[in-house]
Amino acid sequence: MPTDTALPDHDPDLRRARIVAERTRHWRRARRLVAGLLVLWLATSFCTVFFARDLAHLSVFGWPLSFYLAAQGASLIYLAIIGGYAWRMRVLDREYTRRLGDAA
Amino acid sequence: MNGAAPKNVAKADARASTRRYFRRLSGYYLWFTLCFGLFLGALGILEKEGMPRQWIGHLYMFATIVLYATIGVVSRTSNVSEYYVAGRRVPALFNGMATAADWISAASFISLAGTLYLHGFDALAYVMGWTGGYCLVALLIAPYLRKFAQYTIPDFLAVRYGGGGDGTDRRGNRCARWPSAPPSWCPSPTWWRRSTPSA
Repeated sequence: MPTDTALPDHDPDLRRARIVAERTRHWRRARRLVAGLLVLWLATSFCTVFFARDLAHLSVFGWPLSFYLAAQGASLIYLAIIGGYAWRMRVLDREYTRRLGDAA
Repeated sequence: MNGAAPKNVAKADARASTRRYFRRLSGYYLWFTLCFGLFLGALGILEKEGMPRQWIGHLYMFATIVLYATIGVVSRTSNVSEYYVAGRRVPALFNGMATAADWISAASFISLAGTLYLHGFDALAYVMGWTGGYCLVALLIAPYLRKFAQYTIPDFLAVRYGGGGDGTDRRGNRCARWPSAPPSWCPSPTWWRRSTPSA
């Protein structure tokens, strides 16, 4: 951000405003990530069971899709959700800390 | 510039000590696994030699209890943070292993196989239920539990929604009870608004 260097850094109000802005941005991104993963979670745990009969004619590794998902697929998707969340939050947290260091 | 250099040194120091701790912990875990394998092998040999089954069972049970008691005595502490979360020093990998061990607990081995055998497809709800529930905890509760430096979910809810700040006031304690009594708090929006921080 080239314009930031022109602003006086020692102004406490401005600094606080920037920190608050960074915090809001970080929180918004984290919330969006959680919301997306929760939608995936709902699709995995509710939709695959509720529409089990409609999905039964599809087959994965020789098993009906709904059975495979309930027995193994859902757990793997859950694992991926948790892993993806941990990875992405790590990236977001690092970026937030870095930008906060720039702002302060 | 002057302040930045010591900060970087301190950071590097902390990282080095974390790595040392990680290595030491790995050593402990390896030793434990090795000794456990040897113990199992010894039990197997004893069984082959004709030791009664019941004795083997008792020996296993007793050895396990003695081991846990020893670990407990060696690492005893009166510090709350040390007691509950080991001073928050345990690396993520080991924490993950502990969580996995919890997940694949005795319940999975002893009862889940039987439940699946008995109920078939319907019993898979258990598997999905507790793994899916873990997702909710990991996404919605665990990070904030850590950020708020609390040990239990009621503590966390008390601090987050208590309004008192330290979670020990009367309102906080009342809030901590609300998960167990949904009907009493659901239909009272005024109470909800009163107990939610107005930030």
